Amino acid sequence: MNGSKGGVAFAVIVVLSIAVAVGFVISPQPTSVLSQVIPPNPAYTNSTTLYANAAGWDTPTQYGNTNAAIPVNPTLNYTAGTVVTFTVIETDSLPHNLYIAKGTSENLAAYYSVIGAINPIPGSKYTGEWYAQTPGVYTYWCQVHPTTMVGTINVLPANSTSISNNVVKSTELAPVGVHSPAIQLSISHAVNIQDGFSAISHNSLVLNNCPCFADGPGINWIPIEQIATGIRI
Amino acid sequence: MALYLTLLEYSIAMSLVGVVAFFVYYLYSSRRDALAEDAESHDYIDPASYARDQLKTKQRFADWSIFLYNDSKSIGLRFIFTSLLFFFIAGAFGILLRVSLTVPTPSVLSPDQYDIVLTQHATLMLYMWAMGITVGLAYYLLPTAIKVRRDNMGSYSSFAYWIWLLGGIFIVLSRSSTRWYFYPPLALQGTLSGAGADNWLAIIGLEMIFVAIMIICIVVIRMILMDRSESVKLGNMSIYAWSVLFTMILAVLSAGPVMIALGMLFYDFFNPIFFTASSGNVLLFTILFWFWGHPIVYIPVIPFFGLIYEMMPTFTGNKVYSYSSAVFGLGLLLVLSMLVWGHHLMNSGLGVAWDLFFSTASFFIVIPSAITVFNYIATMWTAPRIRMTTPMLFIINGIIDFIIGGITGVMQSNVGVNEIVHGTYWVTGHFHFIFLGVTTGIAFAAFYVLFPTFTRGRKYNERLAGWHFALTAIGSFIMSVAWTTGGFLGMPRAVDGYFPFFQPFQDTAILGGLIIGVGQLIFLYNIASSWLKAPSTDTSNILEPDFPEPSGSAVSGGR
Repeated sequence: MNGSKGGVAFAVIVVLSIAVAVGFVISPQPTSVLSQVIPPNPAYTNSTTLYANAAGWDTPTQYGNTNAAIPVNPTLNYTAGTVVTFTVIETDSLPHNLYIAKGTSENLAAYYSVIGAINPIPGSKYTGEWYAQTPGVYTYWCQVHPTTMVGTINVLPANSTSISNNVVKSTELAPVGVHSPAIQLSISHAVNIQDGFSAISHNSLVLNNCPCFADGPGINWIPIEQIATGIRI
Repeated sequence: MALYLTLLEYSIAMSLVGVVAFFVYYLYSSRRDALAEDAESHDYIDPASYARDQLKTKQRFADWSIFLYNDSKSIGLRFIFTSLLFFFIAGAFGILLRVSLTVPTPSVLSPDQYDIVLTQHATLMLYMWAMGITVGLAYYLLPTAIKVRRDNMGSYSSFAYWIWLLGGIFIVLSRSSTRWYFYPPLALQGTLSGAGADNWLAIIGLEMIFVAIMIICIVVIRMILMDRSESVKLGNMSIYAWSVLFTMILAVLSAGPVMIALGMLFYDFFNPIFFTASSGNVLLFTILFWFWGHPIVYIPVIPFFGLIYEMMPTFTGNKVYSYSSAVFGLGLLLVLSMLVWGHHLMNSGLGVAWDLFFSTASFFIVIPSAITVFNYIATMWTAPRIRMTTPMLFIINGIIDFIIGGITGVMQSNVGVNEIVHGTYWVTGHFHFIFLGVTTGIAFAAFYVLFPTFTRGRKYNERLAGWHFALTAIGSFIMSVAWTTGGFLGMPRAVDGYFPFFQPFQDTAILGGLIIGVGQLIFLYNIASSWLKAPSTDTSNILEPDFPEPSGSAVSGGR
């Protein structure tokens, strides 16, 4: 025999390898990350700011929560057809991301990666768009801290009348108080934003240990964001 | 139910892998025992040293035992045949890319699939084929070329081979879609369909390949500088040994920055602090990358210049026209190629001063290239008679392709021209002229020269080899010319579609690509069919001249 089959063995290996490699590489990709086409002219738009903290998602308005030392994972309500621009601001020097999945719990088999890994420097700000297309209950969470940073999103039908009072269509929402448009937040009983906002004490603004948020008693969100942006590297 | 089936399949697959592993271990173990007895009878303590001393300058044949021995020639054969395997795989990806561009809008492959296949083609061709065949030929030919006294770094080389192979497999498994640069904002993101979700695996694979390259470089540099026979002075060392020495020095000098950059990039997957899009550091990665990224395109070219010098005199019947200018030219190529990496970043805002510096340095590359080419031409000019065998045809084609590819390269090192053509198929054409003509073509020539040795004295089919040459040369010329022409008119590269205006150029490139593909199928068939025949010639070849064992200088490892 004297090794005369060497070339045949090599050719067989080559053909098999090509088949395996090509088949593997162009096989359907894992569809765990859902793709989403953001419509250029959506029915509604909305901007939601979330402060990323390992203890829980925090919001500047924190409806009903007068003690911001306990961060909340607010329930977010949107009208179906809203393109939501999430702004995530880092507060605690830990990596975070923002995933959204349909259903009442985290689902890594099919989710939207709204914001990938963020720069863990307090104050750095990341934005990502999500299209609240289909009515239903969604879950948003941070995959790094899935037990603490998890909340619910309700996407309500556009013609829903029963709970329409709870829904703020951002296109209808005038700037409230000293809020900048960038941090308008649609939450339940949004009509109470003013009340809740005025009830928030100064302490509620001192988010975590980030000194940049420790401004004076005058509650003004805009400078905070500017500071937050300013220290971004 | 489906879960159980999956478990069953996994169990069967794992069992088969285990059986194969046990069989390989049985072979290895029985071979090692026999070797130990033999070594003991020759007063050796270490069987591996005995094996390497017995095998070090002898011809080796391609059989499964190359995976069991750690002498340089076995390592070289491993690299040669593995890189050839990856050449076919990456070549299939390349054909797939061409076929997918039959119509302007993506049809055969989805955009994500196109990006994955593009990345795989580029990465595998560079690191697995070009680097692999460079290293493999160096390991295989150098012990003879410099008449090594000892060959005792085989374990390191074997380790390097395995992690190099594993790195290549990781790159395939990663299904990365970032192209071979792995530029950070893209490399850190998964695309929507998941292409690139496993980029971290590609980064690990690439880092492993770099570690392997570092080990290989140190082993080969040591082999040339320290283990050379005393009868081989540096001044009359073969030009191929010189070119390998230059190449390995170049790799050692330039690979450090990108290894650091890849490590930082890997860290960024878990804690993004280095190359984040919000900082300006993404440009830092491109600089660290291209500090290696330019030398990598010289590393697989310089040794093949040396191989041309080795092989050409056999077919022309005279000596190389000028030994000293040949070595000087290759050495100058080493120095200059360290200084021109910025010409890949001329449009990224380095500033006019730096652009002009890198542009000028790139123009200087013409000098060593011209020295080399004129040396070839002078050698052929003064030849009494040139035998047009298949290797010689590959050599001549390589020189012609290098001239065209060199001129297209010099043109784009002009800052103004570069601004226009840098994102177009012009660059692709320039690159493929050189890599198909010089790296791949000369590697084929060397493979044909060494084929009787690999196969214990079997001749390859001259007719099929001629077809292989003709189809490869003509196909690559058609493809690269279509690319350079279309690219000069603005055809963007590395995208899954094109404007209908460029249809003729893409169609021509598809034709060329398919011709190349058919040529490689003929090559594969030639290997298989010629190997089946009975041995009909002796195993000596022009690249491994016989020489008497250097006496009195043997330093036997382990004795």
